[in-house]
Amino acid sequence: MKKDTERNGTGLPVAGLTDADVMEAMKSLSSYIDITPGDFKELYRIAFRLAVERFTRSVKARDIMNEKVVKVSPEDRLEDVVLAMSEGGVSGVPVAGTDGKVVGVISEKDIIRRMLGGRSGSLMTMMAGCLRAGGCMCTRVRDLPAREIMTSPALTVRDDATLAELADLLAGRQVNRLPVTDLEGRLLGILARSDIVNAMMRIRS
Amino acid sequence: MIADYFRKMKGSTQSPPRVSVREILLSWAGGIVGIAAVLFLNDHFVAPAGRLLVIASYGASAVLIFGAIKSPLAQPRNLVGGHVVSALVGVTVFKLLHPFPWLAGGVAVGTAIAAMHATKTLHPPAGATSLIAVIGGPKIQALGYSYALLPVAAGALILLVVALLFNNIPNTRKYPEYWI
Repeated sequence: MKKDTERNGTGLPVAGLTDADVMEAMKSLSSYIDITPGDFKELYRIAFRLAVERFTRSVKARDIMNEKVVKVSPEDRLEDVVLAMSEGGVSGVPVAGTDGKVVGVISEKDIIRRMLGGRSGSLMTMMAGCLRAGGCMCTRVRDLPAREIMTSPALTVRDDATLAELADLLAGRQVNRLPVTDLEGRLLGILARSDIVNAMMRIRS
Repeated sequence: MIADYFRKMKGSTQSPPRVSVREILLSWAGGIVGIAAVLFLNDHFVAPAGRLLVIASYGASAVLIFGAIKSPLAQPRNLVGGHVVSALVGVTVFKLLHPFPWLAGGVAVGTAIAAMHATKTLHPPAGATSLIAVIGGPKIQALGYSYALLPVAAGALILLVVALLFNNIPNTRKYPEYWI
């Protein structure tokens, strides 16, 4: 019975608690506890799941979003977009109109795809192209407006989306950041994948 | 399906740990004090008046209120409520079914379990209290519903008082977990 970890159907360790832990805890209480270790673990499992569910439903996008957003407008030239991304230290920006509504997002991938003439590829693909061409491919796209480069419509979330919904949304997609909007679609903040992972990690502590 | 049925009989978890020697000694002393107190009161005050204060199910109650004091089964609501509810059930079933003692005994205990569940007073020793109302002999049968007051309620209350006094002396013990 002295296993360090137990495994569930997926082959991953079950969230921590082992029979040995339960036995140790029961001993530490000194008096006789009228429950089997198996029943205790079952109760713990259910109660923990309920606590996690309550937490992931009570935390909303607006609680964990970053309100300082680096954003660009649809008419900004790529040169300015790249400058804004570089200065902001971000790899993607939402594109918002003058009314604040999010019309798209631009990520490094969008820019690379445009520079490669529509093909998708990595930074290395692009550099290989530059070297072969004997010059930088940036120059031929630097005057393009943001609205021609962006992915549109953007995948956005409302500010009252729950952590559970955000995790579900990101789990199946390649997206790394989610613009957070109000009811009318106006930009309020941005959520990076790491913000969501960090919030999920808080459940453990 | 048959295999599943028998597989259930294998059990699925392990026995809880043994309590400390200190805890064993405390339970031992509690059992002595609790039952001795009820017997002393019986022999010197109740028996001389021609009544009875002690029934065998108190031995079982002592196991819970001195040996498993954190258990929901050992709390005041369960100790007193369980015994009184079961006594009332036992007397009622005896009155209705006494021509069939074997059936009366079964129905008394089964109904006591259900009644204790329904009233959130489950206290296993009280199952015996309901059975004693049926098979306890002419002297107990003659008590009618007063069986639920003396010996049952009176004895359970005395055990409760002893449990409160005794279990709160050691710094490792605290009783009860809740009252009602």
